[in-house]
Amino acid sequence: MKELHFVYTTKYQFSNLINSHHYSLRIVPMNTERQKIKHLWTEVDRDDKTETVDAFGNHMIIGSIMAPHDTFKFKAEGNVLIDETAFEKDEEPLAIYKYPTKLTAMDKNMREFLNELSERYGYDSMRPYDVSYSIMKEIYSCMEYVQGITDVLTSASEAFKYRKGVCQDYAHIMLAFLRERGITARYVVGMMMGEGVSHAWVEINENGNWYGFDPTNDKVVDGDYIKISHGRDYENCIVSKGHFLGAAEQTQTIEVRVEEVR
Amino acid sequence: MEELNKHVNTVNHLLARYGVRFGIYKNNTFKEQLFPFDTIPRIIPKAEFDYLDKGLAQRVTALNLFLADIYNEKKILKDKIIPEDFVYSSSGYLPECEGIMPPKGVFSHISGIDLVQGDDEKWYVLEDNLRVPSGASYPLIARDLCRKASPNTFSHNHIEDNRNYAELLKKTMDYVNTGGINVILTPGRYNAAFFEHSYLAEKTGSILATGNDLVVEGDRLYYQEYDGEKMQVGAVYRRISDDYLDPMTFVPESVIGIPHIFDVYKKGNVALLNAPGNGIADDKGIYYFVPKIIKYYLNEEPILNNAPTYLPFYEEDRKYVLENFEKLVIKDVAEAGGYGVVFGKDLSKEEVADFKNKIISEPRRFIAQEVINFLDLDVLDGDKIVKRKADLRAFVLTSDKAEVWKSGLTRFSRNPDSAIVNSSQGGGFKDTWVLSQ
Repeated sequence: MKELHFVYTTKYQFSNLINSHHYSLRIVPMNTERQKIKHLWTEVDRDDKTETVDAFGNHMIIGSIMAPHDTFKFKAEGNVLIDETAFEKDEEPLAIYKYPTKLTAMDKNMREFLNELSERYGYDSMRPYDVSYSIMKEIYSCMEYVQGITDVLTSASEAFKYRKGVCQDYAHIMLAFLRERGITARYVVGMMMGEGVSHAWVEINENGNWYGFDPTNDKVVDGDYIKISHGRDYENCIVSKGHFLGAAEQTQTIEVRVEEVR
Repeated sequence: MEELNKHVNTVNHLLARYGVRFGIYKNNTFKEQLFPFDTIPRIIPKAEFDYLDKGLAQRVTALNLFLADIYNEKKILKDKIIPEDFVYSSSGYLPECEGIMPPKGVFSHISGIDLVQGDDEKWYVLEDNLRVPSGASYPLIARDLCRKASPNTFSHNHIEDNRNYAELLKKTMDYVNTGGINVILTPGRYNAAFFEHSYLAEKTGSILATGNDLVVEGDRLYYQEYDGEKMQVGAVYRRISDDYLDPMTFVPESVIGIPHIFDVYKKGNVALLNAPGNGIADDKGIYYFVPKIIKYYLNEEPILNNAPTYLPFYEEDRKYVLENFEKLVIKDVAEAGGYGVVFGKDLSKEEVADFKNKIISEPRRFIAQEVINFLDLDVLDGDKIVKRKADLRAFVLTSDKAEVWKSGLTRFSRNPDSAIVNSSQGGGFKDTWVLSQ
């Protein structure tokens, strides 16, 4: 059992006053067989909020600020216990995790790449866990981690064409491959030790257990990871979503810190 | 009836004055046009309507059970009655609605079922509309005006009074209302059916609102008066599509929706008529399975027939479709409103070949149907009576049970060669008389 302390802070600065600002936040870590929240403090800088759960089981803080304002910040802080030997259980995972989304659709280029791997390693006779592990390794070695080439709406096929991207792109590409192979797989957003921003990886379901793979770091998910949300792709896991009236540019500052409590 | 035909111009003139219009988009510009009314009604004898009534109520009851199942237990998929591909690959299936059971378990409160009558006098269901079916107000207001123009026609014939539509609608809203007022949510006056939204609001005693008039606070939805006073809303008959309903959950660019209304709905604090996610049940691919859906949930034989339909998804059907392409009508499952409908016989050789390739590469995207020879209806064209193709949109309102409105919207094609009768394709309409004896 490992205990991690985390702080997740986000601050928005708007260049002009905005109003009728509605927000949804997915910032609270999940309670699962694998991770248990020990302490939790959340702070949203206005108090007219409420809580809900989305269709994928993610916890959400939602609310609105109607009066004019030019800053918005929120923070989640707490301690989480991770049991590295336990896995999230789900005997009947949602069937939609088997189907591609717009962001995780395959193209010809990707299909050729996957077919080649499949022949080289004989995926047809391997168990889903091993296929996933192999796909993770292959993505890690063929991709280059570069910021600024892709954005949040870049699809797996575009990022794969450039062979460049960030954790979101790595995860989308891996999901596309896994689902093409018929493996039930989902997108995960969370935090990781030593990473200053939020992180994304994937989980696959085999025999009712969810296993995490991090293609950006070529790593099976271990006790250094705290999971916040999951869904079909990035769009189901957006950390902070807002809708407001006003003509303003926004600057976002995110700070994430995860350290082990000894 | 001849009496009534003498008044065709008067009635159309009155309709124009009352603003009964139909707006359409053509070449990216919005054009509002009159929806021409034909005074010769479609007449349905009592026995025939009794049959339709039973069949429609059965169909809508089963479709409501299907929706509740798909977004919750999914028994019909586990029992392999419908291949799950048809649900999860459909744009009508909304994962955001997973696990939601709407107030009183009703998903499709107002259903518009499109039927045609073949020249063998058999009725066929062509399409189920369970999202935002429009059109009930047209026969309603036309009947009103006809009654004024020719009161004798209605006192001398035994015609079911159709003025109870608003009453049925109000009952439907009240049944699922979670506490608060009833609201009809319109995207605004540039919508094709704006006339209908305001008409129904007035007739049901609901408040007509746009997205800006409604606001979410905490876990509730409120209607905001001009003076800032707020009233809680318990039911929203929304006339905007799922995509635009809530920018926080669906299309973020929507300016006609209400941020967080979906969260209030999810908590059971407001009813949305119709429920979001209904698109999966009126998907053209799912249409094929409706007879199976009826048998599965109700353990009854379907009373109404589908038009003979083929799913290229199944190899056997695909073979048939490719071999008989020229005599079939092909529909793109993603399109609505008469768009994406192609008659095999109308295509050139190259177009046929292209289309067949599309079917082979994307079999899930299309359905094919036998062309039904419609029973043509009489339509007044100047002084002459001509024969035109027509369909019938029947309205089924579901509260504690499914009730069929004893009227309906009969649409006809003004073009003698066209069998596409949608109002967005420039057709006209007729009143539908259901005889009471």
